[in-house]
Amino acid sequence: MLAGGVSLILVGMMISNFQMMIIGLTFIAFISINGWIVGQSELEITRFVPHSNVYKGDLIEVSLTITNKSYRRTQLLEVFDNVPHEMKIRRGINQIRINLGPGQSTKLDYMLRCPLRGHFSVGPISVRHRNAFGLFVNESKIEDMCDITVFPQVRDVEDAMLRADVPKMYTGATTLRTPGPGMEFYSLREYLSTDPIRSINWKAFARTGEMMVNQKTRDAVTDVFVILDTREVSRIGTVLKNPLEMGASAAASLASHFLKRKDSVAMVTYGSRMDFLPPDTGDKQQYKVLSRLASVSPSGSMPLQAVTNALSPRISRGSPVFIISSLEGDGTTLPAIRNLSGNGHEVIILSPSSVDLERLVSRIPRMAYEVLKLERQNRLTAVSGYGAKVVDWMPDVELSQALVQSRG
Amino acid sequence: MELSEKKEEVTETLHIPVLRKKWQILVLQITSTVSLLLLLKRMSDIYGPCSDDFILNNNADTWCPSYEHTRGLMWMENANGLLIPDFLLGVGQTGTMSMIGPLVLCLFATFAIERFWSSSQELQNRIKQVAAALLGAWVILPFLFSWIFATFSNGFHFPWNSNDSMNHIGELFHPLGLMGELVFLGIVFAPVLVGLIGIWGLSKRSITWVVGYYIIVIAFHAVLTFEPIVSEVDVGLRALPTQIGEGSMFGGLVSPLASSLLGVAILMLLFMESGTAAISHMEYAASLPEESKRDSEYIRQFNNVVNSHLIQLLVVVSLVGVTTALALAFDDLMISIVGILEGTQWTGQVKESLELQMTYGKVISAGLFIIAVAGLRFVVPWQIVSGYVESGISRLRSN
Repeated sequence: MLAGGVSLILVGMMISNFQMMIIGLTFIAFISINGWIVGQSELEITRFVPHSNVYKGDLIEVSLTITNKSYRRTQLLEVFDNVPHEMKIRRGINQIRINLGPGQSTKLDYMLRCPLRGHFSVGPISVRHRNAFGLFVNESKIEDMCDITVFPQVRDVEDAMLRADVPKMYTGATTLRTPGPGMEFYSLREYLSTDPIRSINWKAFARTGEMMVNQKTRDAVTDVFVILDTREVSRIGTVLKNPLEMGASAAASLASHFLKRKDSVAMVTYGSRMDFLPPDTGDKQQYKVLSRLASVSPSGSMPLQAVTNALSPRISRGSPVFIISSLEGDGTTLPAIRNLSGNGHEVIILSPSSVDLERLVSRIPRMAYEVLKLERQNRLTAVSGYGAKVVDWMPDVELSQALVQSRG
Repeated sequence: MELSEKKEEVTETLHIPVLRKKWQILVLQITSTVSLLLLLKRMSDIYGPCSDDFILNNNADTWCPSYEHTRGLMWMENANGLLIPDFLLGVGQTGTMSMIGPLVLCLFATFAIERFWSSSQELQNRIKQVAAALLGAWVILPFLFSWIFATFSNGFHFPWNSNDSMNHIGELFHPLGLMGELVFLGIVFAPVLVGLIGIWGLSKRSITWVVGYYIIVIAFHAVLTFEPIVSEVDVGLRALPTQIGEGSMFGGLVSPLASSLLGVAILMLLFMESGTAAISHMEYAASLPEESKRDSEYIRQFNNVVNSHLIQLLVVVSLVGVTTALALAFDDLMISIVGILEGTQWTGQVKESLELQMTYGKVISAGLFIIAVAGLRFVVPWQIVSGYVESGISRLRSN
């Protein structure tokens, strides 16, 4: 409009035409008067997200409250909450056009779906203010970030673990006849200043007049090792369905299952490097496992044997070991599993079928597919020959169903 | 009470059919339409007449390329006759009455085009096929019939012949007459048709096209009436005065010519801004997902935005009119101020300067004034003042 106005004035002056000059002047006057209407972004914006930790596929309600604290009207404002592209808006929209008077406020609600696991940040909030005619635009950002961790999905594998040919006898809390942390009653003893108040037996106190506390029998636990393959090859397939995604979900489900049974769970991920989460029990360990799994990404090509060699001094004798890997592109798989089995570990391999996952994204000729499939079957058979229980996990099969199919 | 509130919640949404009936949107669209019609009227008044010399030297059947349709159509009627009835073309009428028939045609065409665009693709294809078939039949059938009937009386002959009764080629070109009529009509009414389609058919491009068209018409008129060109080729257009004249309207602020020309500019601005505003607001509403269209907060803010847009449109366009008028009269003010400071040779020279009151001086002084107006925004805290007033009013209301 400015260019048009100036051009009209100049052309009008050149050919002494007042009409063109007046139109040009009017356009320029319009811009000048518009300059008087200045928007402002002195806003108080608060974002409320009820949960910062969610599971893959969950929905999050995001709520923004925008208040104009100043004594000026905001004029036309566009408020846009930046949402990571990995998240999908399920309900509502993350932007609004507002014109708030002094002291007025408004609310923007929308719902996000988290189809991918990982650590994400919602924000910053972009505020674009413009005058009513859209001639002047100014954009600013309010650095209000909200971190959200999306854990992998945790499936219920209770029934599957009971029916599956996996080492049940080792796992679960086993009561020992010694006092310690546990569930079952062991004996009564006198209260010590270090005892928690909630352990006081009030009935005994009422009866005897002395402070007595309940002692519990100590629960013994089994260490369960979960090894997850996060190498580059675990990327095969779609963004939502690939060996790593399936594996992360399986690792989270298994860890959750064993932790619920009061077992001690250790988590190992290997790809470009090996990350070891020492065995532990409880909710804190579950949180650590889930957080670790939320951040894994496919990279590197570390061989499995290097992992098992590094772990061997740390794995308790007889502990069951779950290996979640497509077993692709690693020549050390057989010796690694042979070593583990040889050391007396129960080895269970959960192997997402990378051949079938690849079929989801590219067309593999039938003959080639048959050959690849045969190669994979031979590999799995060879592995099971070393005493490992192998689950050939097809993409369209649920984890619980896959576990039932384990063969040894 | 509760029931009526609930009913209101359901009915007020941001769906396009609902917005089309919203009073704020209708006000914007009607303002734009009225501006367009007034613009047509004012353009016809300013650029419609031919020059006095042309009228004196030629008869009523001759045509000059002014922004007026009846003269050209009358010229066509005298040459070949007209296919469209005179009352629809406005032929034989003068002034505003000559525009009624074509405007009715424009309204009808806008409605038809709007319905055509909103119909299914299949129906659109069917309509196109039928229209093409009818046009083809209109071109071919009269030619064939006239030729076949002529073979009965004159025997077999080719359709082209020096003998008029055996020459039928002319029948093929008969529909061209309609095209000619539409061209003469279109020069004046195409912007109205396109503008109406833009406003009611929600097309920003059409609205911009109309403004561009009018600027081109003005530019053509300016070039064709430019003194050096007129001395070489005089097409008979009436030139605008080279002097804007003394201010005699609105307390001596503007001259009648300046007021007239300013009116064109303001109407152009009003048409463009109100037309595009209605579309922009509806575009935003259409971009919202279904839940947000029903969300009371979104509806409240939409109303806030549209209401303040309406107020700003009214205030800004009025201020633009006043500012431009003041800017055009600023040279007089400057000369008056300099006149007060009598005594030096320079003030005397400036006072007697004609140059300042001519084109360049007027535009430069107007430009200076507008720059000063633009700079005033840093001095006048009107938004804070209006904010205090607004918050005071809302506090009083809440009390």
